Amino acid sequence: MSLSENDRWLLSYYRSSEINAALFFGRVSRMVRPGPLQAEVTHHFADEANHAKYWNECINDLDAHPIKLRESYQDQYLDAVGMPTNLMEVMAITQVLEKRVIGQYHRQLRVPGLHPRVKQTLEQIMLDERWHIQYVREALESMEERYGAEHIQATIQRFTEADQEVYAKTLAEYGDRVAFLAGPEPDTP
Amino acid sequence: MTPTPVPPAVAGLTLRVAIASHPLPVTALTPGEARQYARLTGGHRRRLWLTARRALRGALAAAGLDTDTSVHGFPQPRASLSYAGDLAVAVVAAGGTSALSGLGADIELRTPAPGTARFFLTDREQDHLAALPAPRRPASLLRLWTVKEALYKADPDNARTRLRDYALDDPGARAGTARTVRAPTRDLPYLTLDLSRGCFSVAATPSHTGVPPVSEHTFAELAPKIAAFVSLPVEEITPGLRLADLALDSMASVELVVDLQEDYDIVLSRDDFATVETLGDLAALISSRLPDPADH
Repeated sequence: MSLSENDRWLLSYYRSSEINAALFFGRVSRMVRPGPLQAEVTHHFADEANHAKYWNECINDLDAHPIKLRESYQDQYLDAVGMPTNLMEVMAITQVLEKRVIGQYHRQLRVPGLHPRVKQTLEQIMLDERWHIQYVREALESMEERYGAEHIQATIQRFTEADQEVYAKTLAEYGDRVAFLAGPEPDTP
Repeated sequence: MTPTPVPPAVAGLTLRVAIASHPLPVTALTPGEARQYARLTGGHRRRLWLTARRALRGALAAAGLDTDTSVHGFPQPRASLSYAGDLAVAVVAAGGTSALSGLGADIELRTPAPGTARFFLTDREQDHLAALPAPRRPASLLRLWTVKEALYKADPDNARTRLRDYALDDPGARAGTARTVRAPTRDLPYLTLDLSRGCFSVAATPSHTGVPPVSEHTFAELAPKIAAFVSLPVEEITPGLRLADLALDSMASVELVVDLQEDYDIVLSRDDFATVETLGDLAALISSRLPDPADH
């Protein structure tokens, strides 16, 4: 079974988003002071790069090549919320985006007739994504003294609302390509 | 170079002014200046640049600052340069820079055509001019032109502002205040000096950011960190460089500001950056958040 053009585009979009996430976390890895968080974001950076590789391999295994794309969900999101101005905002944005990714992959898993190779890739990536959400949550908790617990919660809330708006716009923008993904939000961790 | 005129006091600032009519010899340039000079093309442009270096060195020396002009980038809030004919004038703030967010100087030798007044004078200023005896009008028009140009150059937010938008409180005053519609409660002080040839005015925009000035020491410490993010040698990293002109992509900007916060163990918010335009502003903001050494 070969990929439809829509599927090829969507998997390529996932690949592009993972590449941008890796580039983002490569930068974050350089910002963070020496310590446990530095090790975690460096691990995260490597995971995102691997996820891009997994999607590339998945598309190749389905007898296709990824479409060259520059756009990604992160770009659309950061255009909407503005660039983060401190490390707490970096991690808050990361938490929101990671939840979006895992929610999106959940939706994809529920699509009827999903190719087993795509399913395998999604499940492989989601293992990492769960850890990402966990360590980012812990990192934000550890920042409460420095930034204030209420301020962190307010920031996450603001970024979450922006994400919901951007996601709705993304679904509308890509229309038919992602129509099968429309529907209620799946539960996310 | 003409003798430095009496330093004018504008809004608590001490300004040093120097005017030059002859170029600095190329052999007198510092290595940094020589590199800048080598990038210039055209004999006239090079001659003007060298004349301006002579004026700038004079004003910097009078202000007690490093006279190597290559370490002072433009535009910047504490110094201004202007040219007319073979003359160059430099103004440098020597003290009280904590209250300063912009300094502008303008020298003009020729009176503009009377018909152009409507383009840079408010209706009230035009009325003032029309009420003067005819023989006094050309000199007043020249003075008002230099004041408007100086106000414009001193205004860091002048992108959408016309010369007519700066209104002098007393159009006849040689030293006074002006204001813009954009910030009508903010006094913009100016001063005019007569020259043997032409007219020269200087204006200042007081700081409204609440950000204290960055010390030379703090900026010297920051400059190498900033240079690591931009494709510029450290000697070209000056407080006057605008962040927008560094051509940083958005992620590099994030990396720069977060990296500095992590290095200095400080927290800056989105609101803090609303008033940061130049590297000097950024350094001052960081400096203002550092613990006072006296507290330790």
